[in-house]
Amino acid sequence: MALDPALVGRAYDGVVYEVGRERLAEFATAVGETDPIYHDRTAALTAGHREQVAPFTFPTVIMNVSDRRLHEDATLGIDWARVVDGEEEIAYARPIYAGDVLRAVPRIVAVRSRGALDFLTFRTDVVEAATGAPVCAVTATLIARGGAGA
Amino acid sequence: MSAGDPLEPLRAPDGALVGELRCDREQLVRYAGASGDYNRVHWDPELARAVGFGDVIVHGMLTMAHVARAITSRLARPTDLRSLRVRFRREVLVGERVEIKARVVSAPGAETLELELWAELTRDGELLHPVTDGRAIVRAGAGRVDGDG
Repeated sequence: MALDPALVGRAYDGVVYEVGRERLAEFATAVGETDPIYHDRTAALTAGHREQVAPFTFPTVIMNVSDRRLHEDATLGIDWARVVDGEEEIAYARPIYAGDVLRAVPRIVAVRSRGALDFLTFRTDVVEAATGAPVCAVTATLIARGGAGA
Repeated sequence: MSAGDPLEPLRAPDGALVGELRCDREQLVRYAGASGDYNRVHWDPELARAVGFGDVIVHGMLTMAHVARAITSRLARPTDLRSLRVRFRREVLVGERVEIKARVVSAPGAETLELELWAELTRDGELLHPVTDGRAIVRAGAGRVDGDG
């Protein structure tokens, strides 16, 4: 079943995400990152940053929360159990730090079908919850297997 | 001690090896918990085989994290990595050794440097290239050690 081209532009309610210090350290360890700026506020300040820094791909943690908005949208007709990650782009306006209170807003930006595969591209804008100031944007293209059969 | 440019090897025509990745099952479990991605294909071997993989596969975003670290670890300020785009072309199985390579391509402007990146692995004697590839944008001058630390 092909994705409906009319989905392009569909926006979802944002989710608020508070960046926790311990979460940053846990994620850093999980991605093999030992630089203390990701684990410790003092080390980050010593290195010239204003707070403990989030590892570069940390926005994926936020996306795994905001992605629920798409999972809740049954009209997409996507079998999420059969979705794989095709492409990801993370672009920063400014780094993410411990203590940030952010809002992540997903929006579908492209749909495409090729044979039995559907390609859904959505962009999640992450901004400061209080001011709306841009922090980063994540653009993900997911590949969904439409239709039945192996 | 030379305050050289850690990005210098990447300026060679074929680029340079910038990192390696080999994840065991524990690391996949740890990453699932830390990232919130509990997709069973990363920790349930029966399911992974049922959908056609030889074993559980590494999260694409975990591979991307290692690609990012391969770059940021070479920058005077890691936060000078402004953007990274990757395409996941082939799966990486638990335990497989992945080589991450990069080269500087022509800078699009005075303020930024563009890197081409790719990852490859050998499976059953066959070189799979690329399993992942992409582009990174770095703030120019970021590879050089700053005088003020």
